[in-house]
Amino acid sequence: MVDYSSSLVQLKLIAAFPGWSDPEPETSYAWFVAPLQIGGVVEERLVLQGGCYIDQPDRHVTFELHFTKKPGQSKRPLERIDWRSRGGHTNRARKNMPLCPPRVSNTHLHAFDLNWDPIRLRFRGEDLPYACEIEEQLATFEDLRAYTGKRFKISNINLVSTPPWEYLLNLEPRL
Amino acid sequence: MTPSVHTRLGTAAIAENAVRELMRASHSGAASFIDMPLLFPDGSAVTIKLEHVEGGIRVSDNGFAYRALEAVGAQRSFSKTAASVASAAELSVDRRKIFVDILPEFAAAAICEVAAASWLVTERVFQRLPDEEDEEIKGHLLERLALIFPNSLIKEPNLKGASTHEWPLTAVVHVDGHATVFQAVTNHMQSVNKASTGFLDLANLPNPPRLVAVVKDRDEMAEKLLLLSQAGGRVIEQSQSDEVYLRAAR
Repeated sequence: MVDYSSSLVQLKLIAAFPGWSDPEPETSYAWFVAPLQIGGVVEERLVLQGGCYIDQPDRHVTFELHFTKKPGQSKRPLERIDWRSRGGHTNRARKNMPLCPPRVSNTHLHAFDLNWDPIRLRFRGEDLPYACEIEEQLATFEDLRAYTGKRFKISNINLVSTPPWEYLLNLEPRL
Repeated sequence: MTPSVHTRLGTAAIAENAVRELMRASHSGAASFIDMPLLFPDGSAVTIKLEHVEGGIRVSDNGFAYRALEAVGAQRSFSKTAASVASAAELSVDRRKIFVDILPEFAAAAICEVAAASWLVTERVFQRLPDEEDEEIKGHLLERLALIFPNSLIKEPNLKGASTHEWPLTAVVHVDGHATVFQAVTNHMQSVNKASTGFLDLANLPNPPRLVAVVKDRDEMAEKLLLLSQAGGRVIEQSQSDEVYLRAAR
């Protein structure tokens, strides 16, 4: 079994930052997937993924640490940070749910500890269903990036560039 | 249940609070977004995007269902599942999103329909995801069988039942010239149903194999054990001794 928690606590480096992708024409979503190295060795499946919408500047950015998919195994998110996300976050009431509030703000952390069942040694859901507030104020992308580096223990997080957001005027027709 | 501050509120206040939490609108450039009272598996709200298109407005999920599937590596399931859901609801789908172009006065109904479709697509795909527990039991079982039956183990074969349907199995071993199927089964109903149906079909073969379901904890399975045994399967626990595995195969 993969030792998920040790992957979280170990110091990491981005092995190579590929840059943000071109936006998808259908949704304007852009992303990157960066391999990580621990102790000088590039980990086989552990990556940092970022996502944003080019037409929605200064909001709706996600950084996630996950194990990539391999035959017979799903992709496995370990932790995710949502910054000013649309859709907010609601923690569902379930038996044996972790201690977290029913609703958190649009900037929140899908923490490993909330989503890992230490008794059954498995995740509580496929996609980190529980999240908590982030206590630090993340006013800018640079704040978010610095927090991500600290939380995910990635020392060269500054390699991640600011998304190539398009700042558009409001072109809604006047009625 | 532990009493909370809200216990003292009347249902009217609780309902009003819930409604305020359930829906909200925000605006970005020429587009608007509405958080709907439906949740994706990660706890985020199903969100709808409104934007002007020629002759009307486009109501879409902006690819959020696709993103929810991508988060667990299941994005390849989007196109087929979304096409099926959207077709039934008379909505459109492209590579990433579910949408409909309509006159603005029909926005409310379209918002509901696109949101429901977006939610349904993720629910359907998530229900089919390979279960981690399933993989764990299967891996453990194959290791045990390789030690107990080193010369006759066939890993993960497909076997045709009486119906001629091919069943994916965890393992088959041969003891004294007779085949025994070992099938890893989790406590989830889907896993039990799949194993039971497969066992019934295999048991109807002219020369049926012995059928053994391997579970983690028989007590946890409760009445589901009955389904497996009714289907002709013996049930053992994964941690039982080699003797038990050998007896089950004879």
